[in-house]
Amino acid sequence: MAVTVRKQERPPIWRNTTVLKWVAQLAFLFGFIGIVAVVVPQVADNLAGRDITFGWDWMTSRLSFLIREGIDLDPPTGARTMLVGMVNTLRVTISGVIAATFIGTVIGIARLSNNWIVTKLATFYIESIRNIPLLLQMFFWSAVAGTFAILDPFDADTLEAGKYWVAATRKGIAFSWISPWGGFYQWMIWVLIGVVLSYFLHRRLFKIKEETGRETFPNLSAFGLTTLFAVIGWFAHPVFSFVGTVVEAIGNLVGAIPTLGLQLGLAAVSIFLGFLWIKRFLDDRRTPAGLAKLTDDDWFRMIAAGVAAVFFAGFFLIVSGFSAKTLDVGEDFFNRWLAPKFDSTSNVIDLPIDEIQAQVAAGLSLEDIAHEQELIVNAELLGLSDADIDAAVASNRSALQIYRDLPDDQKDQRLTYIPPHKLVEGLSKARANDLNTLIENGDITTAELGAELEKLKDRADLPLRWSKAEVQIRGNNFLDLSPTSGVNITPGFFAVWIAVTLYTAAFIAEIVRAGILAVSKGQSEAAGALGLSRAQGLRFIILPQAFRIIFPPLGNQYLNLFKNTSLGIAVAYSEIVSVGFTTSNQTGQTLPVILFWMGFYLSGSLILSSVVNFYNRRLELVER
Amino acid sequence: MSGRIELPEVPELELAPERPPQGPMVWMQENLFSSRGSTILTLAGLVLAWVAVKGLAGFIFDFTARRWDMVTLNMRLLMIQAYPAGDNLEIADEAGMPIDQIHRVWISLAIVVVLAIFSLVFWRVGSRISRRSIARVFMGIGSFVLFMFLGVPIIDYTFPFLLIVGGAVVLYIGFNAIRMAIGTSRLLGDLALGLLISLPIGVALILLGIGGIDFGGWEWQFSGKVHFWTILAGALLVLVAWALQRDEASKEPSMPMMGILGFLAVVVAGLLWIIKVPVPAELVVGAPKAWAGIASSTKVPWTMILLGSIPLYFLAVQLRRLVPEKTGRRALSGLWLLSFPFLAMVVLRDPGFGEEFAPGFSLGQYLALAIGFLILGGAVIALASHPSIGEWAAAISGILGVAIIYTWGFTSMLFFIRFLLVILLVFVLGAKTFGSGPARNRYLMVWGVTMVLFTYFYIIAKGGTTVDVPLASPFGGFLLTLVVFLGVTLVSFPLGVILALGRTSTMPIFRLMSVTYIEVVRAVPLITWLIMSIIFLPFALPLDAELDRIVGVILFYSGFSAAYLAENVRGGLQAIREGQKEASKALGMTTVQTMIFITMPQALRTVIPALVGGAIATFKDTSLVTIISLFDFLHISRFVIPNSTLGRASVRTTLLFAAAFYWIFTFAMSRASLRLEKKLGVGER
Repeated sequence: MAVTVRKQERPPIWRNTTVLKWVAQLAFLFGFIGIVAVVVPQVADNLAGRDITFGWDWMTSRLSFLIREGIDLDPPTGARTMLVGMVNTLRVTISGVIAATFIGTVIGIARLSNNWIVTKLATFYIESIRNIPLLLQMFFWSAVAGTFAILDPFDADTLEAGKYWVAATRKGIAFSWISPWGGFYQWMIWVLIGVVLSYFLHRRLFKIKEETGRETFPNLSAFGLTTLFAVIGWFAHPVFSFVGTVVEAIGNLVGAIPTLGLQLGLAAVSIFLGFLWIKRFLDDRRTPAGLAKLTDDDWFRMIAAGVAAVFFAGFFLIVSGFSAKTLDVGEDFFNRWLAPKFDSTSNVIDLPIDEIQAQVAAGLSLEDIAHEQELIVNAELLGLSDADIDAAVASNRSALQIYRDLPDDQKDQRLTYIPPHKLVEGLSKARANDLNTLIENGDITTAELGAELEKLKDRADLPLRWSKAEVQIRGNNFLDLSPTSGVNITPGFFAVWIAVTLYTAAFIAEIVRAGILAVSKGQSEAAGALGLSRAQGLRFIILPQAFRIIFPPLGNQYLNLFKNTSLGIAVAYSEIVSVGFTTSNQTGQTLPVILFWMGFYLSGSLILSSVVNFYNRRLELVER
Repeated sequence: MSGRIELPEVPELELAPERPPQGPMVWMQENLFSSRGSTILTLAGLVLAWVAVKGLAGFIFDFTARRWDMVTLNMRLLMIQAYPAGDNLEIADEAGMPIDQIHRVWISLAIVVVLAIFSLVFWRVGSRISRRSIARVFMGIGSFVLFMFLGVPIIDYTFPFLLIVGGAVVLYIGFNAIRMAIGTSRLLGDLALGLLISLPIGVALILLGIGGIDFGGWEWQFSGKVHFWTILAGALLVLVAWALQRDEASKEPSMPMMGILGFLAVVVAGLLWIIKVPVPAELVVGAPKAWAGIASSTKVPWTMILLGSIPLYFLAVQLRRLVPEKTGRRALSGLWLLSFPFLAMVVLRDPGFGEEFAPGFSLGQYLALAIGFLILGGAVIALASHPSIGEWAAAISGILGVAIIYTWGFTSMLFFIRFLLVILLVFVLGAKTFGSGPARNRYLMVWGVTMVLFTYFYIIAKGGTTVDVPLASPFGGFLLTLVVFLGVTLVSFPLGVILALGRTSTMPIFRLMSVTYIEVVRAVPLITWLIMSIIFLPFALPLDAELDRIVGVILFYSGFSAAYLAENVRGGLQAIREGQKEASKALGMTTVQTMIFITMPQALRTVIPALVGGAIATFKDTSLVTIISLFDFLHISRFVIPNSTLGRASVRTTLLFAAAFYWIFTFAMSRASLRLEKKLGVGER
């Protein structure tokens, strides 16, 4: 019997699913691009109607507003303004993550306690915190911060800088703290070497212990070695003062790279990476029988990777400004930022002490000298001639005199703020004020002053320094956060930090609880059978296993905390959204600011989630 | 041998003897003082709880500093802000604001209450609960009252408290030593523990009862005597409730839930008339009165609603006997869906055909258009759902799509026609899925009903209103919070489902776009999107177009919320086994039908808890609109009332009230979600 095999007909083109799928996708994509193409000119038109042109000029020009707190209160450029906001966001995020993890873990364990009242308290905490909007909690803490009043911030007499261990006012809290000082970075090299050596020592000792069973004290030895290096480094750190020169040389080397070289290099790297990706992808799809059949999706991926590689290569080649800027930034990073860290006297107006003595003898106060020195340094940066600088100093002196003669109520508090302690490294603000008073009253001879300053100068390159709390209110609303002071916590920081910490801790507690419950009961029973106490069982048996389960959602909570700090805008904490909002209101540049936010949060989230993913992969059980 | 098999002797299964009911002493020993560490923790926990409650009670009852009257007097502001005002100045509230349109709010509320009660009945919500669980609630309330009022700082309890705790510790150690000496006699141990509990309470009661401590300095009628009796009442409540739940019979579920709710409604209605709060004299125009009811201007409507709901419940029960339950449930679902636009109309417009329409508006023209569309569109849909039409249905949708792009993008046609075209396209696209075969007539009927309702709502929306709101937006206070919450939930749901489908799709461009959208939107905090809706959206519109801020916020917020929802739905989609899809394909279902009737219902059912969790987060985060100066519930509690002349320094007071208010809603929602999770048995099947 003959069997007729009907030839399979290809469906007509309007019924071919592959064709239909691609037509639909491309139509949708072009529709989307079309909408964007309509909206963007619309936005540009509307902005032009209000005399605003889209651009990034504001990044390089000074924005005329002050920031409440951060690394720079009056930043010279828009870019630096945004940097201050970013640093503030990261500051509260990192401290919040640490605190929330700790509190959350404790409360999560407390929820599983055998003790009825402890369980109930933990439940009460979680249920009340979780169910109240975070913003409301932030408002509440901000209102609470308004009631701190150990010292009256408006009574200038009670607020002497550098006098207190702890000082709390309605404008914030300040407490004494250790801060890095002149020789810190050189000392850090010693510590770093110690840590690296300890790591190897620990590994070796631990191996011996495992193999032979002999007690070798790996932890103790590692700790001891690090401490030893830290102690030696404390005295011997100037050994590494040459690092600054090396760094500078690297910076110069970076600066010497021609722009075209970097352009070509980057283009080559992007093409190479694209090629590598496609090759790996094909290798993945290769089976012993040959190349597997590629789906639409696979083709799309490869084409997309190729297009992306070509796009980036083209971008690097055509936009030479990007490479030039990268080189500039790289050079600045080494020469202007990193190198000075190894030079213990670089960020101080380092006037020779006999010069100071001479000027004091000529009737100037330390404040005046500091003021003039800053003026001179700035003028030199601007490239003024010597004659011009002299003229500027002279006119400044007379202007200062006029200002001094004003009655007190007409003076702007902020203008009188001059940092005399910056004259000599090691001169604290309090000591500088004391010396000033002595000079003004004529209680100190110039020779004695020289001896005093010399003494301070000897201690200028210590790695760390203990600084007393300094609360100094400048103008209306500002805490002075100069780098030599203790730690200052503003009401805004306090409200954001405590709110996000407590809020996230409630969620973390639930995660920890779920993680511990997920570890099978046999494990804790086995721990008990081995004679471990409940705490020991928790520490050595349960928590390490629970950690695998806890970790991924924990990373999510960290991301939430990072994003939730953006609510700081509501309690006047100068984080990135708050600073950006003010910027956009001032310059009208809404779109660039929005793009900046998106870039910042996207990269922050990506970095955080890739770190989480990295550890998560390391934690995963290797299954056979 | 015969086939008898000798079974070995099996020892009878012995069950562990049931534990005899344990007294509170044993319970305490097991749960509070099981070991030395546990005892320390208990004492520390007690001190912590004491400090917390004392702080809270001290905060709440400090009537010289707290301005609770700011909350009660501004309740209208908190709930609905300025709405509704009309031009009839004669009907005004105590502050002189016109409130002649306030009946609209009450009507809306009444509609919601009626629908809610009918739904409760038709879905048979409310089982019976046991006497024990109720008694435990009362025990909780009693101990809270006890604890709370011991914490009121009329007098400083710190010293007596420390004495009591210290004494208790000493007693505990002493009794334990005695017990050790005697041996493990349970009776003596219980006696010791009993003394331990009763002594401090006795000492506290005696201290309070003698009243040797000053109770003075209280402005309102909360004297030391009341204080004492309240504490005594709390203690009695605990004791009675404890006695009520001791016997085994109390475990039986015997009390009807609905009856308890009805009883509560009566109690609340009664309390509205009884409880009074102090009013500062300067607030009241004319004769100064020091006291006012807790809901002075609204107790009549509240009482009507609360008491009216009881006969309404019985009416609904009668109705359930007459109407098949399934029909009733369907009708109620439809009414709930319709209630949102309808209530918006009640609130914003005059729901009858008002006399005033916008200039150039002709009712006849709209009606003619609607009827024309009804008939023509019906014909097109009938055609599209005809089995023999095949792929031509796609051609019809294509033509409609082009027409829509043309009318929306390139002409200035009536918006009515543009909207109608979009609705028609949706119906034509769904024709093959929903309207094929026997379902065709029903589908056409749905089309007819949709057209009538849409025309009605559209014409009303164009119509006039007697509401005159002095502010930019008619919504404010808790009403705004609700509007944003409901709007975001409604808009984000379809968007999130579409994104989830895109993300799990096999089509690379759709997937790439969905993934990009979801990841970018989720990486950036909500507040930036909200800020964008006010500083960027206005520029993206044509210069003359004006969009209400609230609409912009709801749009951007929905876009944000949809990204999270999409991730949740994706989880559900991935949990469905491939076999389901293959089976539906074997039955001859199209891809769309598979998705709508097979995949989606299962996927959504799995992720209901996650979706409710998302809704709770949305509800909490509506408070963020405060930052962009929308007058929501939080904004009014944080800024409006504390910044008013009389409300100075009441920030923490109003914030605490707001916190409690939010808490009740979110807590109730999370509990409901837990119950739903159990009922659906998610993760068990």
